[in-house]
Amino acid sequence: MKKLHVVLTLFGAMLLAAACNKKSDFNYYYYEPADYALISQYLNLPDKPDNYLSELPKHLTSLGLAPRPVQQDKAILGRVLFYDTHLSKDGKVSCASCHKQELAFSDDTPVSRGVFDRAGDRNSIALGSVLSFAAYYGTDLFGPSGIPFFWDNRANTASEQNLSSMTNPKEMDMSHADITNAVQAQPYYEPLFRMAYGDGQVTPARVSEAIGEFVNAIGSYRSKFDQEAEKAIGYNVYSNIELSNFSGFSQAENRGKKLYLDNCASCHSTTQGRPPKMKANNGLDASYPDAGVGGITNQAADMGMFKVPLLRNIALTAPYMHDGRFATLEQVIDHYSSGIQFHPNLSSELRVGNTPLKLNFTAQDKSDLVAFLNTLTDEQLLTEKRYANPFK
Amino acid sequence: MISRAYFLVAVSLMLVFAACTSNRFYTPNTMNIPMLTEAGQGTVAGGLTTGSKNTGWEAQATYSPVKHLGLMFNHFDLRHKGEAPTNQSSFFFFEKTPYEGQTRLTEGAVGGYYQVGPQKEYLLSLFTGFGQGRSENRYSAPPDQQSSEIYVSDWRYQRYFIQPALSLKYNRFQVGTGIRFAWVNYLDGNISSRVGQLETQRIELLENSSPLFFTEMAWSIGWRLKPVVISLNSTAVVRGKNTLRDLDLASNYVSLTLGLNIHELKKKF
Ligand code: HEC
Ligand code: HEC
Repeated sequence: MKKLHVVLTLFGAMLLAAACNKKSDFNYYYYEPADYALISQYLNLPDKPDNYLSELPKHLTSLGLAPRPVQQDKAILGRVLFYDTHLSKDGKVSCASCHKQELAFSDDTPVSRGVFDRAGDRNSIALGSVLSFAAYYGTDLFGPSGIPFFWDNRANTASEQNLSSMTNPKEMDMSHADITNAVQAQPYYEPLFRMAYGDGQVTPARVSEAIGEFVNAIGSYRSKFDQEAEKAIGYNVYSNIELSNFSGFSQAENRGKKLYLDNCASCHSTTQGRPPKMKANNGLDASYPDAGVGGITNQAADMGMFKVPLLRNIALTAPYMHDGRFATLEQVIDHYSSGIQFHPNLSSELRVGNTPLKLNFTAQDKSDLVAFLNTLTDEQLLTEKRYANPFK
Repeated sequence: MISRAYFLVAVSLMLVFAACTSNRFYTPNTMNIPMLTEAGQGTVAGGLTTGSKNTGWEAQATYSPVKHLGLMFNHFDLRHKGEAPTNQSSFFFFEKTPYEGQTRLTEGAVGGYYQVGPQKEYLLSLFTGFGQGRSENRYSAPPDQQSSEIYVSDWRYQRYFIQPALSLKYNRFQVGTGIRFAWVNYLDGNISSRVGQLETQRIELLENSSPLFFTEMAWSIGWRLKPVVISLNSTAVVRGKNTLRDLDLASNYVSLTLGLNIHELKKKF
């Protein structure tokens, strides 16, 4: 009987001791300790890698928009390369110089300045203007059937695009050999390449693929507009957005939404998913110094045609248009209201016969439209750590 | 004769059910269903599982120091292998990577038993116990990395359980069934998140949903060749909750055990 007591007491003590045990506490590690110590001298990268999968809201996935999965190791490497000024001829310019996170990855000057302060030809495109790069653009998976890059639609994949930015004399001005040498010279890249590719070998193709993975991981899908569209989601996303006022919108925002749907959505998209048109002429000038798509294709029908940008985060990405001619959204709206010029390729939505349309917005209309455009801002994107500058 | 036929049918049925689940995060050990009726009775048993993906062994014991009171001990050691989805490689496909794992658990329990029925042929028991264990999974690098590295995750866990069971003993034949309410608390661990986003997310889910509570059901059928008992046992996690399904917890564990009833041994010699 005594023995039994001992056994029971011991067992009770064991249960008690166990019950006092702390909560689960897993330690995640990603890099070898020596690698992490080296990397950490230069970079603030978490030892538990950031997740680069975007979970798009239902109103977008129901349209068949799904982000291509991003290869995490390559995106991490790509993030470092994106912010690394060693990748430019004068050591001062990185992708982020013209694609600033706090501006939804755009720039605040009409034309950005590249190496040696050389002025570019066009206004930087906000990488944060799309719901998800990987869902939106031409990807290696879909090839040219995706949406092409640049104001003149000249590149098909993110890696094709960024190699051209790196070698562009007005942007980073690097030869392929320069790129390889610059990357190899930085000690933190050996482990990062090894993580992404199994060995530390640096090639321009790998550099551009990795940056492409990072850019593909950028996405903006948490604006007030998205939250409201998500609430309304039912049988048909389009009619949800078109037919009803959003309950979380102010009256001005709802009136602006209606004006946007009537006058702008046929080019810029109802859902801010994919634009219905890849290119258009919106009547900026009667004759264009920059031929846009026509400069690439040499087709008369493409002259003065430009990429139709999505308007996500548009409030942050001034100045506007391919040449950055408009400093404010009010000026953009004035253009559509009364400033459209006739051009042979002016899109049919903006003309009646050979006369450019005047949308003749009232002052109230204009401020309502601006109120609506402001709902397309995704605050979270602007500070998200996984997209931020990793350099110390 | 009849009992042997039943036995064989049961064996084949269970082997069919045991296929295709993942043992990476948790595997139930064989529920030890006591067959004690008197003070001084005790059983020691060794169990084995083999299959294309699993090999495991178990040691189990029960003993009754006083009538109506029982003690229980279980040790469980399972090696398993399979493939884990590690990354999403396209819209529809997952990248998978092979892994090998081992999980161990040692536990003790106390409880009571009571005989009921017209001939007192039924045995009701209620045990409660606690144990601690450790799991380790070793993953190969994802195929696209062309690397021979091994990524390891390992953690310790505790389990508390309450286990009501019912059994029935004939001369040559015994059957038992029970429910085990289990609380599994994952303690400290070291996780290589190199293994891939999907698997890392699963392990995070495991950590964040700890302590996991779930129900397990078991039955056992034994062939008595006094003092030896050969039994076939099946223990399954009831995967009702979404988390359990997301974690793809092993749903079923089947083992064959060879038991020795100590009191029958004494009688024999
Ligand atoms: C000197 C400023 C500058 C630098 C540096 C720069 N860009 Fe750009 N980026 C631009 C401009 C300007 C455009 C629009 C050019 C055009 O359409 O012809 C653009 C366009 C893009 C686009 C196309 C977006 C779209 O929606 O079509 C992507 C993607 C891009 N840049 C990524 C990058 C990456 C990655 C890097 C670094 C390797 C980089 N940029 C470096 C200024 C820059
Ligand atoms: C015919 C198609 C079309 C219609 C209709 C249209 N746009 Fe545009 N929009 C474009 C094109 C094309 C561009 C780029 C033009 C360029 O830069 O040369 C553009 C550019 C813009 C920009 C600047 C984007 C940036 O990133 O710089 C804003 C803002 C804009 N449009 C708002 C509107 C609004 C508001 C309406 C409705 C009142 C509207 N658009 C109607 C085709 C259209």
